[in-house]
Amino acid sequence: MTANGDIEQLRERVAEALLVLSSVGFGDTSVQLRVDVRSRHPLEAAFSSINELIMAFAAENEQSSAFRRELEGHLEVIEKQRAAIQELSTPIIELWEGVLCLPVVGVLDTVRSTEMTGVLLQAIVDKKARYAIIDITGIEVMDTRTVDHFMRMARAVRLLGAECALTGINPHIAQTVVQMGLDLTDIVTHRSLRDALSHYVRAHS
Amino acid sequence: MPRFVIRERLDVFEPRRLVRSAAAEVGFRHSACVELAIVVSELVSNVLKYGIAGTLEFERIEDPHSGLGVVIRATDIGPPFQNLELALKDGYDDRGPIDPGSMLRRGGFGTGLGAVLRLTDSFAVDYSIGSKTITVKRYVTRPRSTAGK
Repeated sequence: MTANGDIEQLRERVAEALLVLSSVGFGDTSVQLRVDVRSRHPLEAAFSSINELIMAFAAENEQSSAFRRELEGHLEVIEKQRAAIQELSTPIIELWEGVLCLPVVGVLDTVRSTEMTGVLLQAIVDKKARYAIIDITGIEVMDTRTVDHFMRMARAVRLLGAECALTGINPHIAQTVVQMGLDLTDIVTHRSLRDALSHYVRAHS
Repeated sequence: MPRFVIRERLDVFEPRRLVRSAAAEVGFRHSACVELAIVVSELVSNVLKYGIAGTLEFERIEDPHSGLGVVIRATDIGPPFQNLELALKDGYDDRGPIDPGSMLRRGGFGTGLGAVLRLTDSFAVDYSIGSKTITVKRYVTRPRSTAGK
């Protein structure tokens, strides 16, 4: 009778343990097995070890989710930087020997247009360029001052002894230029990058 | 209202992207959406250039007189403008004219706030202790007095 009672009790304990373990399996690591410390039954020792395991698991889990959060933060930064690099970079392409092209895309603010000037002028010196094409096909809208700045940039290129052409001016920007009354007499413009390049090739062959 | 923390240059992209889509939803023409992106850019640059850090927020507004539009607020932790009128002038900051030779180093030629002024319909600065807030509004239908200024 006592043996039967023991077995019955044992069954209950094991069922309880299975329940607890299944909640751990579902991610709830706050649960613990009931342990009777006074009892010398080997089951109690096993249960205590399981409790320790659950706690260790909880700690590991906590740490790994901290890592995951950190990693997600890093990924977010990388994503931001990728977008930034794409927008901020000022690629200067050497289309032909001595012919540089600065394609301008994206949102053009004053900080960026100033940086472009620096990069373009330096590239003209470094590559001993004779012709620079600033292609603004990718720009839809500019502030009037930025348009003015581009005209100045073209003049600065000429001071360095190179020719400069502006290409891809859209109707909206053309209107801005005219409204501002900017002097265009010494600015060379072409409809497209292709036109500018063929003009250069014809003139120098 | 979307609110963005500005601590470094990279922080410009998120608000700039979102202001474009928000403006499109309000009903701005495509070119006006890009102009608002430029405004956000200039305001963020300004926060970083003259303040330590700050925030930027924008939201749709509806005004009985001027109709639908967008308000943009940029707050920076920094000193007040010494001279706002000068700061708004092209080629100047709030202390005076900018030396053309320093343009590349300082990253700009003193026309950022001027651009903000041109591309918006109202411009206001509020000061509180240790910070200043620039509030600009732009309406879908620009009031006659400001359009094309």
